[in-house]
Amino acid sequence: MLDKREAGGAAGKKVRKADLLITVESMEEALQAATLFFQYYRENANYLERTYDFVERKGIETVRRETVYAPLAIQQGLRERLRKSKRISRDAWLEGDAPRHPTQFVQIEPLEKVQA
Amino acid sequence: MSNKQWVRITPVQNIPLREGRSVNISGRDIAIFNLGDRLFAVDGRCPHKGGPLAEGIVTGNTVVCPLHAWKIDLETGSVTRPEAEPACVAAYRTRIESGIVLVEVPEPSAKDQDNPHFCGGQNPASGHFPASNTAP
Repeated sequence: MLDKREAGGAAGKKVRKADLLITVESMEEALQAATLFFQYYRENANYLERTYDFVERKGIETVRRETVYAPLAIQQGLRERLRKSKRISRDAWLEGDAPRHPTQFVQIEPLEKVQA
Repeated sequence: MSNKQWVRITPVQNIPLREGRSVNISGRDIAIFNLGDRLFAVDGRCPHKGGPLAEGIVTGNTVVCPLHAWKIDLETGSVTRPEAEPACVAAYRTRIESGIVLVEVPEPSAKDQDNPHFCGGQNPASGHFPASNTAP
């Protein structure tokens, strides 16, 4: 199986064809490439910047050089930082069942009324 | 002349650090915020589109409305974003007594009939209260 990993395509108001990130042979490699790109985007994109703007701004050559074709230590760094960040992130929607504070979803009632 | 009074609201631990909680004090929707070293209380609805300020994110001495990101200074109640916006919410004095949060609100008879959102920029801590009957 030969598969292409691409990044930075768009299908909104503007159409942009994705750029080729790397050609890989296995699912494992494909996931690795996606992981590297994902973390690189998290670390380098501007706030609210879409991947298609991001890739265009950086240039696909730079992106490739700093992710899938980066030295192994750099790649490991990207993977490790993503792992670390995912480890401490939590799904805020679960707080509905397990509030992080006793009054998070409890309406506070005043202890006394205003005297007329 | 006493036209406002301190009302005991809730144990201070019910308002976690750097968060807001809404409370209805005799018909007034008020948002109380715990800034660690002090508590702030302002009207609970954003003057823009009525967003729930108690659910906003606190940054510095301001809260950002969760609906359209208007920013309200908790000390004065004035809107600081958008910058040119002259709107504000009423700010109320607070204090803590034996672990209970107290908020100073006008008596029902002194309800702000004509100026529910008085924008004088007074700091309640300076002794002024942003209600129509105390306006200079």
